[in-house]
Amino acid sequence: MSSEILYSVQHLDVDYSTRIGDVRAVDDVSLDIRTGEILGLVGESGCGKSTLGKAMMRTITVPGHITGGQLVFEDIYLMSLTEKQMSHIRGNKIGMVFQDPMTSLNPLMRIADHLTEAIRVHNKDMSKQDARDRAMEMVKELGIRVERIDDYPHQFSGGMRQRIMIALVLALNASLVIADEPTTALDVIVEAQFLDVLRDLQQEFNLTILLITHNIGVVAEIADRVAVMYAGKMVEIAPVESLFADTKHPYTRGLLKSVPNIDVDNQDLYKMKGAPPNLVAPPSGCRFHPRCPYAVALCSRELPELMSVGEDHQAACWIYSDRDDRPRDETE
Amino acid sequence: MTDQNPLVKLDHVDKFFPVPAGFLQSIMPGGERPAVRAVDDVSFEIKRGEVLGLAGESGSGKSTVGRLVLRLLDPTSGTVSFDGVDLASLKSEQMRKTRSRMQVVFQDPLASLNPRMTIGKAVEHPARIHLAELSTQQRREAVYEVFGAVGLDPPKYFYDKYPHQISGGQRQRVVIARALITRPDLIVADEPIAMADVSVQALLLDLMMRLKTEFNLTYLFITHDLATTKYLCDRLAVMYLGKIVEIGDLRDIFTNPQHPYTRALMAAVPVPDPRHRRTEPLPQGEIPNPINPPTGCHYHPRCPIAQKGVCDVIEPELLPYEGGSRTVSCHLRTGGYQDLDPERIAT
Repeated sequence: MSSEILYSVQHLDVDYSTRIGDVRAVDDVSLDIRTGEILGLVGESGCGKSTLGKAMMRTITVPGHITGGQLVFEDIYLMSLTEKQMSHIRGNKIGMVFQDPMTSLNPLMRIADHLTEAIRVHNKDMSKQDARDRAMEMVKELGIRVERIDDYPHQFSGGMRQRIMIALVLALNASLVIADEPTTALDVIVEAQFLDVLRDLQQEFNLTILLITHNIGVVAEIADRVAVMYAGKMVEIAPVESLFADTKHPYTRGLLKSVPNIDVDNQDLYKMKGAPPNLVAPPSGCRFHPRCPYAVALCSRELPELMSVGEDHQAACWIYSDRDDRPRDETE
Repeated sequence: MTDQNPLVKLDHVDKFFPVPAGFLQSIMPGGERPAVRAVDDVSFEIKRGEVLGLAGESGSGKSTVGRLVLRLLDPTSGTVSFDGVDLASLKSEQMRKTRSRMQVVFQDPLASLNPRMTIGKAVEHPARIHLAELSTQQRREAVYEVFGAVGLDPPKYFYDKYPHQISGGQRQRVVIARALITRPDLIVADEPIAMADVSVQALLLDLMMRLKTEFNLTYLFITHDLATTKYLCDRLAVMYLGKIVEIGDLRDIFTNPQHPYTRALMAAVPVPDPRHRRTEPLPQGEIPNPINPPTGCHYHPRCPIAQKGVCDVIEPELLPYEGGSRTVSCHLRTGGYQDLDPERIAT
């Protein structure tokens, strides 16, 4: 896999204005997405993962604002584009798949029309019949029966609609797909089928996918690298194997230990104390310190930055600094 | 425990929901009106102090079973008994008394709580109906006690909070506290942790486990997530298109699932360990329309080992597997066609 960077988020801040003050939903977050990878972005509700996904498309709406940082996609600085230029990027270069595909498909258009329209945007001189043939090939590739191409969106099941969304993204020749909880509304078997399709397509078309999810299992099944967010901050980024085998950040450790694993007998679920903080008044220092079993005085005073903690592995925790007053990890 | 009467017993229970007839059908004489066979000939027992997990995909009928157990729905045929009494035979006053012994916890606590009622009042409400003999002060004490039991601490602080002022995990604790206040024998928990975040899920599972011992509870735990059944359930029933396809000791089923659907469901659960990426093939397609379920075994069109001429023609029955307590509804695993099982032939 190449390590060429397709999309780079640099020191991004996103604020929401509320009656009780500004809430920084994404706080100084940097993230590089490499060409051809599936990057899993995980975290619990309210951690800012979906806001980050929307900000990357510049689709944050009032009362939210991007208040700082840069978004660089294929060497283009997205923050300096006009709305019209940005909407061209959205339609052509970056595709988005949401939890509920019904909101993204026009209920009055047949699947064939959705697809041929998308195909002909790029190939203006392609005849309708050729575009239709191409659409039929794509539908077949996604495991949908070709004769169903003239059906309307409501005639499809949830899993099939999600496949059609992916087909649309492919028809656009998008190089990046941002998928926000794409399998959350699906049943387990359909979810597994969809993940198979996603992985096949990614390999075949060298797609780059940012997969936003709360489901640690899904990330373990399909991601190449994983980024973990907590209370608006990025706390750990690592290749999927190291994230699970050599977990660095105390929050990630707790999170992984609280997920039930169907393959493990007599697993004791970890019970993390407390709850994620209110972002109107986040805790001082490291935002995880009130819940962290390792926290020391330093953690409540100063905010740790992401630092290198292993090969291609970063974590934002004082344990890995060289300060004398750092917390100690007993396991080492 | 084994010689006691079961607390809950379903005996050949059907629940069909009629589908509104179209114009043509309504003017045509005769013909069978279409119906969704949401629950189709389901029988099982839950012993006192036992936790039965009921798993299946959406549309499998698992929530309908939960509602039948609580008599929120009446069965089309068959009987649902609670503590040896057929619920359908109870008059409304008797049913009301019985209701205080069976409680329910749903998936979405925000939808289960009145936004304009403090959570203290919400929990006190069932006590005013079912424990009318208590004084106001005694009722309030009872609320404090269940708040303490579910970890809403200090109870006096929480009593005057409104649902929007507390977190999602705390809200689900309120709903559980409300279920406990009448000291029920049975709690039907329909996806009680599905909406909670992972770290909160673990806490709620732990709480439910603790309360079971503390309050001598029996649970019917309805879920789409097989992985969580492991922490709570003694026995497991797997439903597909209104029918139970496999039921028995949870440990037996987990170590050696027999019905091909149970196997598919277990294989599809994403495993939080990148070293164990799934290799087993998945079933084709999705759960079919329950108005017009497939002939023979409902699962045959998706089943990797279905045998033509058998599985698509004859409907299988739940039969004991290898003489144990577990029953499986599959011609090739427990029925009369075990010699056709490709797995058996291979070995």
